[in-house]
Amino acid sequence: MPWNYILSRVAMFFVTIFIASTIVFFLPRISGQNPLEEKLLEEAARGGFLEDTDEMVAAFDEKYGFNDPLWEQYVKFMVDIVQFDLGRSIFNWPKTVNQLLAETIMWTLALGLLTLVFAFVIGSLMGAVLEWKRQKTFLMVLLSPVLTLSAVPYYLFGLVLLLAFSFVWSIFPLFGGYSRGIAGWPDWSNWSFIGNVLWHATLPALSVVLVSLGGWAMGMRGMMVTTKGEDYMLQAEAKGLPDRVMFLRYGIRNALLPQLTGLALQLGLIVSGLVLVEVVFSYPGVGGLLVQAIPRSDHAVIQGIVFVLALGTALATLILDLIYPLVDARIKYSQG
Amino acid sequence: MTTAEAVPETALDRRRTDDVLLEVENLRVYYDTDAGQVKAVDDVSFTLRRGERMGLVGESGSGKTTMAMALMRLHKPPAVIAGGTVTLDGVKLLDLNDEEMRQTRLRDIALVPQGAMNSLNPVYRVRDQIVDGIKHHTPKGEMPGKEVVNERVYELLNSVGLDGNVADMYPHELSGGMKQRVALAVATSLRPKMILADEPTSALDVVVQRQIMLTLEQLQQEMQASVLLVGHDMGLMAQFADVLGVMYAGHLVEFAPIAEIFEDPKHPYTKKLISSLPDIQVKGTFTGIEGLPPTLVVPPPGCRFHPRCPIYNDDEDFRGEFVDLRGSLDTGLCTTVDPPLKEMEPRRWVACHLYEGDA
Repeated sequence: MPWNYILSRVAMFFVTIFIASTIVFFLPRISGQNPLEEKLLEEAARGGFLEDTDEMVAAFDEKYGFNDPLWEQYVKFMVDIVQFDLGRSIFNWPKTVNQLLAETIMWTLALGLLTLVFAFVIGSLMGAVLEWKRQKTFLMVLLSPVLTLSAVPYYLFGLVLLLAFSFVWSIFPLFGGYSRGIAGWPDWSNWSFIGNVLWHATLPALSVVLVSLGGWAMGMRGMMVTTKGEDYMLQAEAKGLPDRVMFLRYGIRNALLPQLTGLALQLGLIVSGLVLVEVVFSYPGVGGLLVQAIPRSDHAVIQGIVFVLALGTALATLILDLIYPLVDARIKYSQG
Repeated sequence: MTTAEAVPETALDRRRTDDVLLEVENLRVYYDTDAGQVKAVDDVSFTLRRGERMGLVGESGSGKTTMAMALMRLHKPPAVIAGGTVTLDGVKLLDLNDEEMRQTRLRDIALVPQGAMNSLNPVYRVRDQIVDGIKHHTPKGEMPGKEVVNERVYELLNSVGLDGNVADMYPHELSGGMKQRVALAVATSLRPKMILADEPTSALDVVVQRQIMLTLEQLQQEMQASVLLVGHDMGLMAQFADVLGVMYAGHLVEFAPIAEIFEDPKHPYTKKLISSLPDIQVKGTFTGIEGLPPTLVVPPPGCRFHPRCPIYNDDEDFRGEFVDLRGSLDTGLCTTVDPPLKEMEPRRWVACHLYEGDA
């Protein structure tokens, strides 16, 4: 693997991150809202009345440097980002954004990665088999509901699932990542806790997998149509290769290449895609945190989450760029 | 390529041994379409001897490729084999089950694809694509070790004039001619009894074309395989083939040894086809064959060629040559009866009412 290729791609990665952090810094500040004022107003509303709000805001602004010139704040922010110090949340004071992310991100990543992999594998296989067999199979019967579902937003379908399986039939829990109020939990070495987590994750996962299945299936089916018509397919048959080999090594192997690009892009969208699902199921992930932070102008939290999302997407793209030439020899490690 | 004088000799040698390898009888391949049944291959019969090289020519849409694909049962829906038999070395191919047919492909009958095709899988190295064919025709557990297999791969690549290091290359790193050589190596990897080459040199320049044909000929001689070469390049056929089949609108209209068909074509279509070739000695304008091939959904009644036939239409340019023949022709038959393929002499078959009396 040529080093200049890797270096240029890594450089691209850092440029992307730099631009993303800059945008992340300025975007919440465009709103014109003052996070401290929002926090104090909330406190005031809770307490009924709070004296000298304006003076308090001014005092806090001074203390936390919100009165400094914007460029000074920006430089400080960038210096902090480099050290992966994302600041403190104002609403969950005195927790740092890093702590908040640490508490939530594994929930989101686990749910997101698992559902993505499940949907990708099942959907792609389904699409591939559908086109390969081209006969009426049970898959054909499955296809229309799956396609109908792909037009429904995750969270809406999530609500339906919630209504049916938690509210009406009480098979699955109504909310949360695990059952609260049990001594010693969360305890990841306890199997019944893990079982409890899976039980809670079933509906959120189902709502994502069932909805995104159709997209993967249709994408793969389309690619399989193209691949089936390729000359090397006819040649493979003329070579007397068994159907299984033609399907896997000639069909899927080639049809999967564009799907992989889609997979990498979806990797970066895991968190944002799950925001509303997490809200619907009160899931303890990053999405719920973000939804809390935005209306309260909790700048540090918004910045932190968006920065991590950008980092994730850039990282996924970088990894794809580095491994794609291994999957498809036609793509060279060249400067580009 | 063998010299011009040598061709008839070897052809004669082969005709002496009456050792039939491929026998096609009344083969029909139809396309079921919304517009109706398209009889792309209709009642085609011929025999090919062991080690013999047959050319098959015809216009686009005459059914030659459809027939070639059907011989290997590689035809795709909506094409269906509506009848007939294909016998390869005593085995009735159309009666085999799918697994037996799969085993037969490559081992007994191999395909050399069109030159313009991307017939190699872009994601695997050449080595893998030669080996997978061998592997899936070798009983489980009998596959020789890696070194033996690699040796065989290099041997095959060398036999088609390629360097051994091509084995580690990907298809996109090869030129068109090299790809076609790899295709030849794949096709001959199990020393098949018969090679089916469907326009193997299309889209290649004449220099590469000649090299590929020489390689094919060399491999064919070495393995004593029969070759069915499908195409429409009469020059190529004249250099390569021992016998020539001419297809028109789904019918085989003439079948004869190559020298005889060039010297004395029987069917009016073949006559026009050969007279449309440039002659280095004669300066003048070429005549094409007027009109277009007919639709095969509703073919013309009677002889399918009669709307374009110079004899039926009493074409002035042809009158001199056919004046005797036409006298005996009952032109009423041309529009009502589809002429069957008849054997005029051993290995000279023609389907035309002109020769009704001779049969």
